[in-house]
Amino acid sequence: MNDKERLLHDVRIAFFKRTEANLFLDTHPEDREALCYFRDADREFREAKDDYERRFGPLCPGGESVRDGKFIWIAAPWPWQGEA
Amino acid sequence: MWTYLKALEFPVKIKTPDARAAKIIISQYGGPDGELGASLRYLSQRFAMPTPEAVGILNDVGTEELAHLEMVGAIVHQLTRGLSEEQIKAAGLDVYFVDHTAGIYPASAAGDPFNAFAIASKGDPITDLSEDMAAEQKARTTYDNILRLVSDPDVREPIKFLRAREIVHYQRFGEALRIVSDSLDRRNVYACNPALAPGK
Repeated sequence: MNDKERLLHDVRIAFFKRTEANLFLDTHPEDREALCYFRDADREFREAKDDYERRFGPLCPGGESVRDGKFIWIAAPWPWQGEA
Repeated sequence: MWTYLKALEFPVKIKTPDARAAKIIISQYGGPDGELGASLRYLSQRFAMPTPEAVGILNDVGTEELAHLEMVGAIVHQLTRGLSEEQIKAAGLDVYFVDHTAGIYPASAAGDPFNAFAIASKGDPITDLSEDMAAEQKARTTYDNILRLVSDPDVREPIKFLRAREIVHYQRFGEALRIVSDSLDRRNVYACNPALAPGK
């Protein structure tokens, strides 16, 4: 796994943890353990996403999408292409 | 409203195209128990749900199903990259190819185009949540059937992930059904038409 793959892997893991906690909290909105887990996963996700975007370009069509006067959102491969 | 994240929920990296596998897996894109129906079912039903837990779980599972639709599309796309006409004919994918080439089209493995009759949105929360539990089991069975028919680990791993999510969603819908049932009028012992008698 190269740096890019590793960082994307971190994003995916943190996003999945947050999704799983999100669904659990929908039906257990006051579960304290799940609330902590959700907060940690959300922080992990935002940090991993920022790390990835700084080095390898945008994961969402936000501020990182504009670089050197160009819209680079469309330049990086799309996830279904199986490259990362 | 949604925002897009440029990553699959679980990675799909298939090295060897396989027309036969693509022909059966397309069913989980647009077949009777596929991810298109799943996402539309939950995202449509959520409007009529009476408790915040039920609205939340339908909204958020419906959203995750869109990510699953994308994963199944990615699997079929990668399975059909670079196939020769001979491979397409030998696997019987020619009947799909003639109308869609290697494009992704929502249809069942038997070739029936996606049909909204595969989903229901009844406006009755007990009816709808009961359907949702059955829908998750039907999708889980379909993934189990795919796992019986496909041997390539590159294909099996993402399919196993999708199968596991059906089990989690079934669990969450069961909890939502219990929460909604508990919120009903206790005199309505058969839980009929709760949407027509709110808060009684």
